[in-house]
Amino acid sequence: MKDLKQLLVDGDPIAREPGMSDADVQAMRRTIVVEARRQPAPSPMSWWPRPLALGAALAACLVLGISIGMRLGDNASSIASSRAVVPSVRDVRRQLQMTSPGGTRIIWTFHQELDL
Amino acid sequence: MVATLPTDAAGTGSTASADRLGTLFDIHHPRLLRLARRLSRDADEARDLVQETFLRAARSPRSIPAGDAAEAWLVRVLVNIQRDAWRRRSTKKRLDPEGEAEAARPVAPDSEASFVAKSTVWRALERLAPRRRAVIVMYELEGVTIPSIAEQLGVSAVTVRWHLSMGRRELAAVIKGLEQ
Repeated sequence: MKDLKQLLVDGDPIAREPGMSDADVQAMRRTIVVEARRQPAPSPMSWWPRPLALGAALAACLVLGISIGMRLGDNASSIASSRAVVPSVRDVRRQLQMTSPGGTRIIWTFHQELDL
Repeated sequence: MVATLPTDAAGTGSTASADRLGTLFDIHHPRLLRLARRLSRDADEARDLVQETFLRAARSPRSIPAGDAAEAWLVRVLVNIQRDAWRRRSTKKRLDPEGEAEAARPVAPDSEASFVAKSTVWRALERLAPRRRAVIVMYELEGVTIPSIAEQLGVSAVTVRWHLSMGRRELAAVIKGLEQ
């Protein structure tokens, strides 16, 4: 690959162009230094906002999780208690009454555990 | 083009980081200008590239590593800026095929053969992706070793070798086309 290298060296723009003048270099330097001075100086306390913000976010998540958990717990217990108050269908005593053609009355009382 | 700002425009920023940046500029601008020129189409583009590199450094002074790593950081920023510009140009060329044709136009047939060869190779170099071009330029023209290129570009040595191989192959195809 010597040919490639030689062609690159021969055609190198650095070799045939004058390059930047000192005045241009100094102008560029001034521009860069001015831009650097424009930037706000790093505050000595600038290290703490990130961990503090992270901690606050974690604490907020924790509080939110606990409050949601407590609300869900309250709802669950209220639902359970409301279920306890409502009488079950199984508690109602069911009867079946029939009368035969001869006038005999038959009354069947169903056991509450019996599902029909 | 180099934009000059008045010195009194300086605000109440960090003097220490401005001084540090000035020192970094004094140390590294010659090498960065050479590299930028070899990665750019013309001298003006190279100057803009170097200035933008140092301006980015000025805007995030805390990102610049200390010691010798600063040069590698600056080279990496320069190549990344060039990559962004190259991508923008590629998109523009896709949208404007006439611009592509202009960029690919052959060298005048009455030129001297060696000039044709040199300029065609450099034109082919222009068509390489910036990182590949940077690898070729740093290795072939600056004589930087592969591990050092890898460190400066923030890639592995294997990636550098791959770019070098692919870049040489692409440029060799151009040279072969010239010989036929």
